[in-house]
Amino acid sequence: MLQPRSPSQEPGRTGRSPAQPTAPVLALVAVLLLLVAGCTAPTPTAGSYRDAAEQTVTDLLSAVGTGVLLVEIHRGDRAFSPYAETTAEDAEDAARSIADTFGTRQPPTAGSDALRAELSPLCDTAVNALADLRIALKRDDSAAVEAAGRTLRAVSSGLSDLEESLS
Amino acid sequence: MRWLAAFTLGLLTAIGGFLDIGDLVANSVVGSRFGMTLAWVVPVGVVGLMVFTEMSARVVTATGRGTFDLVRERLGARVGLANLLASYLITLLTLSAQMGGIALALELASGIHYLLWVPVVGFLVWIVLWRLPFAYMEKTYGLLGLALVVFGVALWRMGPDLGALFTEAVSFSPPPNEGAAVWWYYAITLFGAAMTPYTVLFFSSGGVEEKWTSEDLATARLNVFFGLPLGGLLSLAIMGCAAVLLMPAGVQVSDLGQVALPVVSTLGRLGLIVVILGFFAATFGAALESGLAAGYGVAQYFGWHWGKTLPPASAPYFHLVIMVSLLSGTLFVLTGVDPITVTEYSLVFSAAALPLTYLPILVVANDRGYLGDQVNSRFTNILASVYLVLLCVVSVAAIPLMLYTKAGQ
Amino acid sequence: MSDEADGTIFRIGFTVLDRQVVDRGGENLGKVDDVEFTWREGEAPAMTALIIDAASLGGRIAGRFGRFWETVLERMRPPEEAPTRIPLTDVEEFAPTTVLSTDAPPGMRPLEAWMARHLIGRIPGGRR
Repeated sequence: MLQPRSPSQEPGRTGRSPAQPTAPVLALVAVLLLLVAGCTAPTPTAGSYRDAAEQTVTDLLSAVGTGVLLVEIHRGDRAFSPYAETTAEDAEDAARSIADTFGTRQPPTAGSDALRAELSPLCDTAVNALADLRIALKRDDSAAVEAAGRTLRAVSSGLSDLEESLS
Repeated sequence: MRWLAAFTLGLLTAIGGFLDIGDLVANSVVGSRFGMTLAWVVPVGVVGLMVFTEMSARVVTATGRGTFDLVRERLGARVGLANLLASYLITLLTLSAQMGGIALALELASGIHYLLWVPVVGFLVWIVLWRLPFAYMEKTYGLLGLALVVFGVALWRMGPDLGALFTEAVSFSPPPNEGAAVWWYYAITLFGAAMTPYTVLFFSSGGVEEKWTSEDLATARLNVFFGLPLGGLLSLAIMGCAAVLLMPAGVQVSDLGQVALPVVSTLGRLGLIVVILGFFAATFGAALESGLAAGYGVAQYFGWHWGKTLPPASAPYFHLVIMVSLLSGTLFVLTGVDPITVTEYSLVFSAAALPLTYLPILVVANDRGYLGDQVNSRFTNILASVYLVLLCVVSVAAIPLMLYTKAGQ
Repeated sequence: MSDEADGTIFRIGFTVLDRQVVDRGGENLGKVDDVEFTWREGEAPAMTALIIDAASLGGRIAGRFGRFWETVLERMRPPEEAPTRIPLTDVEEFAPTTVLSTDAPPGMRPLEAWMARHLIGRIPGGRR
């Protein structure tokens, strides 16, 4: 099918015509660089370790808070078990993932070691308490649920104290 | 009287159909982290949605064609293609998020892991799009979506200090423990949730499917001007519930189960049943709408036969696009990526593409060749232009803010 | 040259291209993707037909992407399918919708018809 060449197809196929878009390519590279910069682990300084600890505390408080609310809901027999169990599992999974992410971080300085010594046990207790809650809910064991609730409240106040000392 | 019944039905459908997984997640997350300080975003989003939805309705009743059908004609093949690509990809992401949301709602109801529900969900959405008549489908999920009024009931039952909530809402600054960048990032997310593109995409073609004429314009306008704000109120109720119960408890919403906590705490088992029903209706309805929107966009760009009201064999490409979209969405969710994360990303990307989806509506609605003297009034144009500027600002800021705050940390 | 009898001037960019083509019965055919001109000796080129063809759309989406589009769609085109050509004499009006005075030309988009018969039509409920 013979088609007249349109002007935009004219310039020699070998060279780059002025209309060749290098600007979008550059923009794409810039975005990719930004993405990569966002994804790589930040340089480990005491400040960034502290920030990570703060974030960990906030996220753990959220998971623990969910657990506490679930204990109250169970006490009042206000929910069906699929809902309570699913929400408890989600909280436990979230806490576990948060604790793991923090635990794999390398503390850069001695000061960070102290922070880690304070936060790590809290992480473990939180995760275990949420696991206990999940197990107790599945068994519909009210005594165990209450016990998990007590532990969760204790962890929560420990985390809140730490949060205050960090901010 | 029959008019009143039709109007009430349409109104209720608009309210019930307003919310989707994006609104559920965004309002709840924002309420739990920022209290009511971002409440102002909801009215801003709702007004924008009202302006552009009314324009779409007017275009449909005046021309008998969907707004996006006219985009390629009015703006050319290239711009039309850019608009199509952006709209389609985002609608696909939104569709995946909604299907993930349906699976999560079913998990909350049954205890069965959500991934096992995903193929079932994909099939269910497809079968409804394949068989259920259009109007019947819309009314069903619209009315069932009203179950989410339970958030308003729960909020009222919690007896919150309304004065304190109001003060927070007008403070226009983030709470002390959150930074400005994250605050603005979530403002954009919330805005994207209120003005999701697929809503207008679906609405403008849905009007053609239901064969609206100029007599239907008044009803459509009433639904838009009353239904959407009431839907916005529902959004604020969800935000309020999270602000009153979850924020003081230190809970920051990251799962669908947490969104329901205020309702369950206050209203117990009955509340739980109603809220899960509401979740299901809202996400299922939104999945249907976004699936159809995907089909509409592609079919209308190429001028193929399209429409749910046609027998599928008369619109094969249209249904093929829907099937492929549903399949892609299902497979994407099956990769195990967290549906809540997908939802949040779909909102940010929607926000980033808002000008591309809404500018064509403004252009078409001003075209005398299509609408004759039903073109936009000066007031509408001024308002719409202001919104377009806002949309451009939001669009430019969305992705950089997302990268800067690492998606909201 | 067949258009308006009273010598109206119009431009294809706005009035013809990308318009929805609808046949006598109101059925969608497609969008006008391209336009055919015939150049006879001694005369100016005259518009003779409308082309509905997704592949030729590529020529109008400029640049590399457009060429890529054109090549891919040309390759994907089944052998019995040719770009739909609508002679201008069948056109009743151009804008806002291009309406034809005839029915859709037969054999348009055989792939779609095949799909309707063998794929979509085979799924239960497909024909209703």
